[in-house]
Amino acid sequence: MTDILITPVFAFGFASPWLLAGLLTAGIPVLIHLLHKRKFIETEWAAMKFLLIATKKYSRRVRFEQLLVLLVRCLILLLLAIAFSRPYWSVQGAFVESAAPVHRIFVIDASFSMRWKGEVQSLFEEAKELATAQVSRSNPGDAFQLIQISNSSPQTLISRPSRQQTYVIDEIARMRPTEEFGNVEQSLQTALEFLGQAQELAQKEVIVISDFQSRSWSSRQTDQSSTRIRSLMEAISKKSTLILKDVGLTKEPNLAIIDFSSKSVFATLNQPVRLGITLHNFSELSQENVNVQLLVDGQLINQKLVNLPANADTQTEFTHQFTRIGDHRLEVRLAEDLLPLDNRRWKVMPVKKDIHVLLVNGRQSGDSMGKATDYLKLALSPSLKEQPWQGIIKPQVISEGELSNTELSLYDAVVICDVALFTENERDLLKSYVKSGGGLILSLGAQVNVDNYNQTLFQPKSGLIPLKLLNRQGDAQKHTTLFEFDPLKYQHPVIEIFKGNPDAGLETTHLYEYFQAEVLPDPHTRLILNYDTNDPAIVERTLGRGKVVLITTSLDRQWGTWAIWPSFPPLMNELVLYVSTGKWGRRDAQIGQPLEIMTLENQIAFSPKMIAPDQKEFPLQSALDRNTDSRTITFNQTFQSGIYELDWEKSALEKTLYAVNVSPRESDLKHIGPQLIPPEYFRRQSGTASVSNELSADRTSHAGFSEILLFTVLALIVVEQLLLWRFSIGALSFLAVMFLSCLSFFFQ
Amino acid sequence: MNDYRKYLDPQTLAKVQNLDLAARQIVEGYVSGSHKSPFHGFSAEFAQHREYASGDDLRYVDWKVYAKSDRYYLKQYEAETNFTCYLLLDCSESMRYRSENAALSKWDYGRLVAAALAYVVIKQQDAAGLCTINNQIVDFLRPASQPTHLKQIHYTLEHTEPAGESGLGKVFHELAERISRRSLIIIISDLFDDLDSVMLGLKHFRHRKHDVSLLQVIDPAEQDFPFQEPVLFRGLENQPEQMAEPRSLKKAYQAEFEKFLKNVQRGSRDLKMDYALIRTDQSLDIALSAFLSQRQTRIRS
Repeated sequence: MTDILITPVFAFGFASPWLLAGLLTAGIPVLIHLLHKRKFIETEWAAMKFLLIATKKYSRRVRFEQLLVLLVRCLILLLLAIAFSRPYWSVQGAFVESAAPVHRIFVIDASFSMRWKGEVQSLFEEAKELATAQVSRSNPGDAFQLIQISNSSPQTLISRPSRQQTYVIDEIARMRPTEEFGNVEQSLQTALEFLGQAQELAQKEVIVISDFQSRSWSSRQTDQSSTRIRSLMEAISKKSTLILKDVGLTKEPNLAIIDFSSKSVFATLNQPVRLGITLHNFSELSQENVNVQLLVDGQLINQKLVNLPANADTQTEFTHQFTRIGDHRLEVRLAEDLLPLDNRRWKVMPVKKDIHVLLVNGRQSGDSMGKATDYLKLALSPSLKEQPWQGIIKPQVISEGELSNTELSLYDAVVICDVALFTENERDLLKSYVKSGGGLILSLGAQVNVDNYNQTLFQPKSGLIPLKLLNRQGDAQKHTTLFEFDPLKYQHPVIEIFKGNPDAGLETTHLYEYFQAEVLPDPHTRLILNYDTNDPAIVERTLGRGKVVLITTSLDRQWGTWAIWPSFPPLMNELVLYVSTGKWGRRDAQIGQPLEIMTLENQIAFSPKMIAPDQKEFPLQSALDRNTDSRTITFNQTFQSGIYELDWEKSALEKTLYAVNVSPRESDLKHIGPQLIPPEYFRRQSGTASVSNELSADRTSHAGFSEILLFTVLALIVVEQLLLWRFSIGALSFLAVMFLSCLSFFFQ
Repeated sequence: MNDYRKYLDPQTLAKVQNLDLAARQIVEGYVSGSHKSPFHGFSAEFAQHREYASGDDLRYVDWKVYAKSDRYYLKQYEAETNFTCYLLLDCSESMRYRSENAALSKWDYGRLVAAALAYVVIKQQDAAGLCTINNQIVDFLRPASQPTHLKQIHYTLEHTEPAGESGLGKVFHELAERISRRSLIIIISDLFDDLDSVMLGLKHFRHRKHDVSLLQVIDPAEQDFPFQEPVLFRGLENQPEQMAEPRSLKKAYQAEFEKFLKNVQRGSRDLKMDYALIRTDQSLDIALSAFLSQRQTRIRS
């Protein structure tokens, strides 16, 4: 353990400076002296000759005697006033230090790296012991405040200076290590603000006990946070004595799972799902054959041995096929080490049976496959009379006139096919649906009224996508021009399945006509596919919780052969599944981040509760989300990693699961090291541990500055009487008292 | 003895307005009859012979006896009781001082002493004269031995007020020239003057073979300096004012005063004069008896 003392070279102050007003009383003897001289008696005197000689001869001595008596009287009052204002002084924080009350602010690191447990105790327990010992050694009158280095948990544990040692020790004992990363900057900022409190205590100390883990304390010089931390330390050390107590480790290895994810937000029955795992070996030595396990719903499903090279990420994956509908809890485990918290990671995988898709047909037709939605419906649900479709996507077709009367929230996605016009009411309905998590796919066609679309759907401010439809390109009747898709290097996840799969025919899809569109700059808009003319073919935009996708051509055979091309069914399926994810919401969060729970209209009346991993229950209340016009519940108490269960209190509804994981920032135990903090802060680094301890011991065994002053005052009162009785004895005793007082100050 | 002593207390004497009565009270109460008079005159009346011893004054060798017997004999003479006494009383302004605790001022005390001594001298049929002085001779009464002369002395004492500056040295010189007959000179004063000139004056008296006695009268406050609070001292005899803090100045003052008294005492001894220090808070009989017994002792020796 290393102690680092950052202290001003010399400090002098008063614990109760307002009592220095008592210094004015020192003027009282002078005043009395002046008033006293004016009162005298008058008499005739015969032996004047001798009086004059005596006055002449001894007037200088008499004046000296009078001045000395006056000085002693003034000193008595001066020292009394100074003693009451409880002065203190310190030289380099160690050589001379008084027992004046100290305002002591403890900043204890409670981030999850402090859970590292050696043979005896964890780093956090060690930090608590240090703090408790420091409080126990303190003098009566010292005031304490307590701050923990955490992120989302309350950092302030004792916000008002407390002079009750037992209360402070109890508070320290009650502290528990968090699973959060340490927000050092915020904690130091709080400490700096606390220094403004307890103004009556001029002597201040900020004691930071931490493992000084490099990621939290940010060693990089260019890092803005690092600069901020350094400036905060400078500011604190200007106002107080800053003591850094390092309980950290220097090169302790640690293995961690830093990511556990899947590309699909939800899984479907009997479909294999790939689960990606990222591991990291935070050490200088490679680790071989480390066991990684996958648990689904608490059951060990799969495990493998992986090699983990030193200081590098290692990717691995499991594939799993779900056979039951509902939320599944997934967990990956790594062989335990001395910091076990980051060796487990959780994920929730919802498995759904049906995806309800509403297809809005804009073109009625009596012909077979003549409607605008016919090919799409077939692609999403290729049912045959003799063999009904078993897939999860369940399309339902309505005419464009029925759109405004349909409860859209019952559908996971809505696909618009060649609808000529939209009213503003319909536009608002669709917009509200998308914002609350719905997926919308707009496809165009010959009936589309460009002006209407531009004025309603594509208005930059109130529309669904900020773009402008321009002219139609190509001629579907004459087949003058043939257009193909440009996959844009398959960067978008929707078309990733076509990558390396030319037989799927995405790039050989033939189109004869499309609408040219000008995409306006917008951070939420992204291209999925282009035409080979470099015009956008499929554009995606995130709106609220949901997604809008615009396909600038038709989804039937009117404008090309795409509807019968092999690329059509998989791309449509992918697009529908992709836009449907908005309704599911995020099911995972990091420690301290809120979980946002979307509620349906029929769930508003319920009073759900959240069950934390330690089975602690939190009743929830829904609140109207202004942005999405939907009801959401925000759950903030995510202070534990693991699976959280949302219980709707209705047996009909299954529990909704959420996964909360620790931040990988704390897994790197690399120590910031004294050499990485600017050297001016570490000038007293070596050997300060003993100095600090001795300093505290001294405080308990030596008398205070004020007490010496009070003793001096008592002695001076006696000296004053001696001066009046026998001046020579009084003068000698005065010198003796002054000498002894100085000695006392020196050796205190 | 205790019965009369209460009448000799200065507090009591202060109430006695008649100086004659007061003097009588003093002398009759203590001095008269109890002791042999220490005052002796100077005479050539033969008493007896005694054998010469080494160191004797050759002037008194009886050469006629030597011629007859071839042995050295000295002639011895009887003391002459009929002598002349001059009482020199200081009536300068400083004699007026009386502290709060003193019943009599130095002047009042001094004139009581003078009256008492005059009474004693005249009562034994000797001549007593009075001279009141400050920086000059204020009154001069020639010595006489008639009882009526005593009244004149009392009258003068009663009608003199202390005033003016001291100038004793000069006056002593003048009186030494003026008093031709060998006399007993008793000086009653506080001697608050230039001591060197005073001593020179006294030396002049001694040079003229006068028997000089010095009675120094002081107020108790002048010796004890009992003041506590700051005092503005207004000097007598045209001395300046002085503001003083008595508590801090006391020692210094007392040291100066005692030094002065010692110098007076030493000077008296050097000039072979009788000297007595009298405080005005002292009982008069004690003061006088101390003086008289001291003189008696000296004469015997």
